[in-house]
Amino acid sequence: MSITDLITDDALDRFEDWQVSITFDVRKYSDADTERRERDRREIRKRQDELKSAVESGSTALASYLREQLGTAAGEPIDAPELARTPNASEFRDACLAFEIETFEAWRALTPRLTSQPLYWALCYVNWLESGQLDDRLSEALLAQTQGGAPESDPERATRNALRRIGGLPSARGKVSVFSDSSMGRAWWRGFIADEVAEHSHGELDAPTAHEILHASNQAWETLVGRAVKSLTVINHPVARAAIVCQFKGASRENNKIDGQRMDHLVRDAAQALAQYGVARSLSHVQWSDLRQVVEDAVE
Amino acid sequence: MSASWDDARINHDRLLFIIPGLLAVRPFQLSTDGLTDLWGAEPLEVSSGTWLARGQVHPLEPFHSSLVKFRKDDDLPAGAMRITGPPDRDSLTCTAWLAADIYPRRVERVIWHAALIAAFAMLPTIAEQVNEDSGAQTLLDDLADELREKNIAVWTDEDYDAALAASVFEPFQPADLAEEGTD
Repeated sequence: MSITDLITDDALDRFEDWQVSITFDVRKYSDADTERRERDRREIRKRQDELKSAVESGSTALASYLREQLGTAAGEPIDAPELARTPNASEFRDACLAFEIETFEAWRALTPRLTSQPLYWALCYVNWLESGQLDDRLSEALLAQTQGGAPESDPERATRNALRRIGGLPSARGKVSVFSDSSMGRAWWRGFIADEVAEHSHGELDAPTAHEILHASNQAWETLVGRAVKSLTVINHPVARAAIVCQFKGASRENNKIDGQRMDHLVRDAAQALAQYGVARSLSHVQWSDLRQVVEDAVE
Repeated sequence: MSASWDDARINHDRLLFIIPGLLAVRPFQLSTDGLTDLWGAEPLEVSSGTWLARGQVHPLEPFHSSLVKFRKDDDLPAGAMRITGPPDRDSLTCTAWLAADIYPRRVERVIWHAALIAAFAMLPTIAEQVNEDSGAQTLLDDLADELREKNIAVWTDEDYDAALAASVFEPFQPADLAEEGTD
């Protein structure tokens, strides 16, 4: 059975239900009485402890736990793509540029239809655990803090870290989750958008350089793709994204040449300017130099 | 004229929108003959990519598939349903939570209709909160247009009736009612 066949409506419901059942969403309890809130919090904490225990028991136990949560029978084959190489704990939390490029190159044939599903990445994760492509040390990195990788003592935060890294936490993070939450999903989507930028940037950028810019700031990356998935906006147009990315030539996290927060603000400004420019024009037929000028004026 | 797209590049939401209009695909000069004096005598320079006429953004998928999804709630008493609003301001999708005994019957139209009416009843609140730049707002505008065309009050009107709007939008069919009344 193909992995596509495992992503059914029922499986998607089950995946979402599992995520909702194991995280404590304070918004849900704004009107609830204390007794109910505390009762539910205790139940959720028990489920969080089960996840932690599965993580601490190693890859086999964690894979088995995840199969049960995802409703995938033991032994049911999951034809996930192989990892380009085993990431180390740091790469698993936040991959370096080289790892992202390697990963995307290995998985170039995947389609957005699949990769836009957090459940797809969660199923891949199970396969990587079972096939020994992710070792036990990496399982522990699931719960760890993002900055520095220290153990996370708060069970709620640790659980959310794990869910994000397994494939994404759309119930809390919305549609941007799959582009940004797991290092593998993020690597693939950055590679995909970098290819798109190279194709539409009139020779200004090649794909690896575009990928380096997209990798420079996670915050700016989330803004760029977040706007595109949350809003009906012209920056959904590949040429608009290309014009924005070209503006940040030279941005690179590896060389510390970028202030991520500053880049994020500039991406917002550029997107806003392009949205206004696109009210009266279709970006499919405007001059590339005009688009570049709009972005340049916006970020100056 | 026809349009096509690569299905593999469409994400799982499958929300596709189309913008009907008339577009300049190359630069040209537009004569001002017949226009008011405001435009002067010189022809207008129209650059490539300019919209000459632009219609409303229009969703290609039917609206109702975006409005309700079903989930099981093991804490609900038998036969009960509750409804919650969209998870964020960029979505319209309400969740109809069904008791465990009726969850397997969620595909039945009578349950679908009940959930749809409940979702329509939430529209006044949803419409106030929705992100105006989002696809959700476009879907909402489209629904309002459709109801107005049928002379049905929309959620901003004082006489808005959720049951009426929902059942005009998705009418009950005699077969649904007959199935329910067979015993």
